[in-house]
Amino acid sequence: MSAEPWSKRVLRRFLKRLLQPVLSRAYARIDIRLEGLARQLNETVGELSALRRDIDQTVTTVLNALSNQNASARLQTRALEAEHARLAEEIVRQIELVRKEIMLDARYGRAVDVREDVETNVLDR
Amino acid sequence: MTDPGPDLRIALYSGIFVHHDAVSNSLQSKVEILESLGARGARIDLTVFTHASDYRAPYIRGVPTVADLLRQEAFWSADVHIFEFGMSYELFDSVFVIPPDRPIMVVEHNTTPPELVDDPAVKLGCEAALVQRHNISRAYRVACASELNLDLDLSIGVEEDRLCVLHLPPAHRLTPVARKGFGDNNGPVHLLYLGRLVRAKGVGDLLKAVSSLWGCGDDRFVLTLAGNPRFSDEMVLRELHRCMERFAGLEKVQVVSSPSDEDIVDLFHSADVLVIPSYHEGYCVPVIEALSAGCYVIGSDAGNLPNVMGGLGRVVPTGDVPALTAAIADFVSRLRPSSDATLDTTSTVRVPTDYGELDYAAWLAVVAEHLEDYSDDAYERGFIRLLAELAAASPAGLSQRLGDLISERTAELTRA
Repeated sequence: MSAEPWSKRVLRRFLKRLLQPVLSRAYARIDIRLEGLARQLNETVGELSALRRDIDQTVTTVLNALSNQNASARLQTRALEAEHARLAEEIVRQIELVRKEIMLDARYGRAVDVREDVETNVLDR
Repeated sequence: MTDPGPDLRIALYSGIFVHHDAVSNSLQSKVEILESLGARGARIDLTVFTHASDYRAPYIRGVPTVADLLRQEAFWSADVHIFEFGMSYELFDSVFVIPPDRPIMVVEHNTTPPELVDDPAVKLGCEAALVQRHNISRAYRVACASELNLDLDLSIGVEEDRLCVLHLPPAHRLTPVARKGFGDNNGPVHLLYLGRLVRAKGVGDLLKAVSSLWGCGDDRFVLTLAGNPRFSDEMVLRELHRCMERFAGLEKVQVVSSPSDEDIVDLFHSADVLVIPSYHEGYCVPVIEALSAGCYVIGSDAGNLPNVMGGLGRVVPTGDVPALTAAIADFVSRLRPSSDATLDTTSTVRVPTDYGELDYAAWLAVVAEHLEDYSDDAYERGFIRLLAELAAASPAGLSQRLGDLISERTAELTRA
């Protein structure tokens, strides 16, 4: 390998000296930009982490609320079903009373209030 | 040729998955059955999601929150989801985000009524479980560990056609082979209590009962209490220490803290009677284990105890200390009519059951019949039948291979 010519070495040194201040300023600017980017990145990561924590908390809260609502809705439905069944029974009972009243009315030709009699089973004897 | 993929992807869930815990054992039994189907050629992808575990296996994922669960690929890709439920746990709320075409099965273990719990944190968990139990409405199938649990789910409006009973198998391998009769060990009659040392288990009543008998000079029996002090009530532990101090030097009470599996097997084999005076039991595995070991049972009539005892032991009213005392005294008197009674009498000892007074051989025969429904085989048969139903209802469907393997295994278990 041949040695580098004297003229080339001098030219290289000259150019280096000439460009050094420009390069230093450029590097400094790049460093500043990089610092800014790193800071921005950290902030964004922090914001995203906080967002994720919020979302996690929300998921837990929402699912827990769903569970509670599901339970109360089911309990309410069951209470309504029970009330519905009770009302249906009551209606059947009332209809039966009216039917017996009509029967008695037809038999004796007069309106009779038999509610108490029916309830004490007088008519069934 | 492209990989056809697994026959089924299964996600299993439990609040905790630890040794010496009934709910965890239920999960472990399922894992073992699925692994044995895998060994036969089924391609099953299995993932266990839990808040905490002391088991170490690659398929176990510790997920602290339901949000973490939702970030798991195995959660979204699972074809079927199987939840163990007793105490409230956050992961169980994920039933509301599981895609509706993926069938869910819940294993109902029951919950201790909050009014019987003293520890404030546990009490809160029990209260939350009463609300969370309604999540079961999302389940395609509900496998109840006991008849009592089935009634519990019926009472909250779960449709009967989705419910079935799947008795848990014993956690330990026990046989009565070494026993010749009731009370065939030398020395005093051995009473055993196994479980958490908490008020709900009636430990205080048991201590009162034995103390009153020892206080009257009855020296024909001793008591061993085995349980994990970590899951015990301070108040009950204080009662226990008072009892031990009162009878110090007489070697009446022995406490086995956090017994190992081997210890538990030894305890059942050396005990004459298991005493379980609980105020609540959703299932009670120790009764199955006691009967499997040829050990008589005295229990209260709380919760599932009468069902699991099957009329083969002595049932006393819950919280009735005089009745419990009388039942213990009666059993001890049958085994040791006097304090110098020897081994020769054991073959003629008869014990009270719902089938009349039976000697040991007759009792064992009825016990064996009762335990058939509580065996490993019965559990496996029931679980793989449910698995086939779940697979068939999932988008993956029941593959020919898995279907054939389940049929083959069911036939083997039925023949056995």
